[in-house]
Amino acid sequence: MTDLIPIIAYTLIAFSVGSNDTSNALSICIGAEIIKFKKAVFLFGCFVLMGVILQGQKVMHTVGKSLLPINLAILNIALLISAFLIILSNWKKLPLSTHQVIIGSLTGAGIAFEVDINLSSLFKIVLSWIISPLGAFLFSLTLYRIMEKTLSKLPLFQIERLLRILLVISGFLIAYNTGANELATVLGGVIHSGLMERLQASLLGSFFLFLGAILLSHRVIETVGKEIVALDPYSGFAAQFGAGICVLLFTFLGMPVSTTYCIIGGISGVGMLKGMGTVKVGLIKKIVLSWILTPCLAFMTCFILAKILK
Amino acid sequence: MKAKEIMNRKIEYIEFDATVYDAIEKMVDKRIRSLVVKPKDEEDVYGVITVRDIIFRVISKKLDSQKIKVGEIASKPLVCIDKDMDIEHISSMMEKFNIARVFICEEKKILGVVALLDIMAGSLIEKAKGG
Amino acid sequence: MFKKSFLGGKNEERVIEKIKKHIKILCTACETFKNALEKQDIKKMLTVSDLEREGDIVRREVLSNIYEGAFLPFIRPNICKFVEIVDNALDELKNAAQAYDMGLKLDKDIKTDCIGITHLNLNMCEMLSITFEALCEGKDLREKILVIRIYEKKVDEIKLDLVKKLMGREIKTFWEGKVLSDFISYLSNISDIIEDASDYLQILNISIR
Repeated sequence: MTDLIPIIAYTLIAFSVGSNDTSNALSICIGAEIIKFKKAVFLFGCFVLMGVILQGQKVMHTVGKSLLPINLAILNIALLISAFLIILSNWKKLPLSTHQVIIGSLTGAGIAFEVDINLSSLFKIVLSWIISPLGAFLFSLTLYRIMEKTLSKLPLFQIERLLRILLVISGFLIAYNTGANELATVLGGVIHSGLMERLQASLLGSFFLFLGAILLSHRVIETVGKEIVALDPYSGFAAQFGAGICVLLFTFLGMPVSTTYCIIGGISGVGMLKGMGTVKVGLIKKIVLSWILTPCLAFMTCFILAKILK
Repeated sequence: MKAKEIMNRKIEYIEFDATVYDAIEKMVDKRIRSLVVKPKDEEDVYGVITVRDIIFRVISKKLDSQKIKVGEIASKPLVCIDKDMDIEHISSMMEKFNIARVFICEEKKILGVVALLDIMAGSLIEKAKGG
Repeated sequence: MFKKSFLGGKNEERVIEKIKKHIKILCTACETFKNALEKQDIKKMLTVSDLEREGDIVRREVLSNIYEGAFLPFIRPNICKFVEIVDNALDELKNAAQAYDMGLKLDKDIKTDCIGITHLNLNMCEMLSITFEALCEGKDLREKILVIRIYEKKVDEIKLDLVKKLMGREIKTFWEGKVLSDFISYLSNISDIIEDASDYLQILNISIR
């Protein structure tokens, strides 16, 4: 019976991720009418599966093993609280990062159960959260400059055609990252606690993520994606692809980072080049606040609950 | 590109014995920079008076434009070319003789005039069409 | 399979070919008009209306192709606007042809000037066609657009002279004067419209970079 709780929890989280984060990958492509919604989501699902199977293990290892020795009790509480917080935040449209909630929860529950938290691992993870949007900022900026020197020289209609292909590639890179990094973060604990085999968990997780994408993502794609779509396709590609490469890099390093924040970093990078002024300071304040509050909230909630249940 | 393709057919004339002041007036009204001076008599030829002539030979010498006749400062004879002459040819000719316009003549008639601006436009058109 | 559905390009190619055809129709119409005016051939003049109708059909095809999904939504409005402007030029030409058909009697020097304007209009159309080709090939457009502006200034000069000549002319009836005035207006508007179109090509050119 207790086996079922974490499974239900993580499938709910996967479903949530599917319904909310698909827009990171697909809003530009669908907004630019390059590919139809159904086809896009189907391919999105394929790339997520590819990502989690081919490269998920590094992030899974960091979250499920390096950070702390996971046992079923910790897993239950952490995943339950995470699922609750993530679903709540999606419902209330609060900007909560899946990664931060999960890491915070695991750490909170872990400490409550008095297991050894690998502080150096935790430190590396938090550092990655800070560096990754900045990295995306730089990558996108550089990519835009390169595009100016190369792509711009081509005839108009060739650029337009190339952009259509590039935007699709970029979308699927993000999809791949959603599997290899985001879904892997969710599954890390499940796999390394011995609850499920890697392949099983990956398939089940991908399936629920896909379900969330197909059933609920369209409304988010139409609204939240506006930030990226407001940029022209040229800049949009630079922002999205730069962010994608950055997340891929961190995935290689096994660090769980947020694609959403990386994309914000990418957009800021390109926006700055185009002279759209500095990023609104208010927005940065909000982001930093959310960065601090989210893991703390998850941490506290899990810690308290774990102590109670112990 | 040939002279006949870029020439301006509108030629303004002025009498030999008109004053420079009359010439200035005509140039201002018609917004042109040169006038063809009609021949004095049967044996005379056409000439041309330009804005440069008026400025350097009359105005900057502080002479009274109402007292000087056009015929006194006009350049004679007209520099004439064939209507089928090439643009490159025309421009090197203008450079050589340091003149700003040439006239296209056929037999005794003046068909048109080619000025530096016409050469510039013509070259641009030729380049745009070709490349 | 991937390449075909994403690279596609068939839709876009079709639109580009149709736009080229549209501009060629404008050129043909200008040439027909000029020949008809020179030879005072009313029958020929009326074929300009047929060409305008043909242009309309092509324009509608282009617009529906575009909204069926050709090109990124980002550049679609500019392409559509360009096609509309070219269509306006065709309309104006048709109006001029119809005005001529009302039995206009043009004096020799007025007729010469009108022919001069139509000759320049034809040059402008041909240059517009060359400019569009250059856009498709990624060449520099600025010089070609400058040439179109040069032509337009020449049309303006002729028009100014023309109006001066007309002011000295006796008009027997109001309608005779009106039709003549309309005819000259239509004729000289065409050059302005083509200049607009060329500006739009430049806008298109820099919009995606």
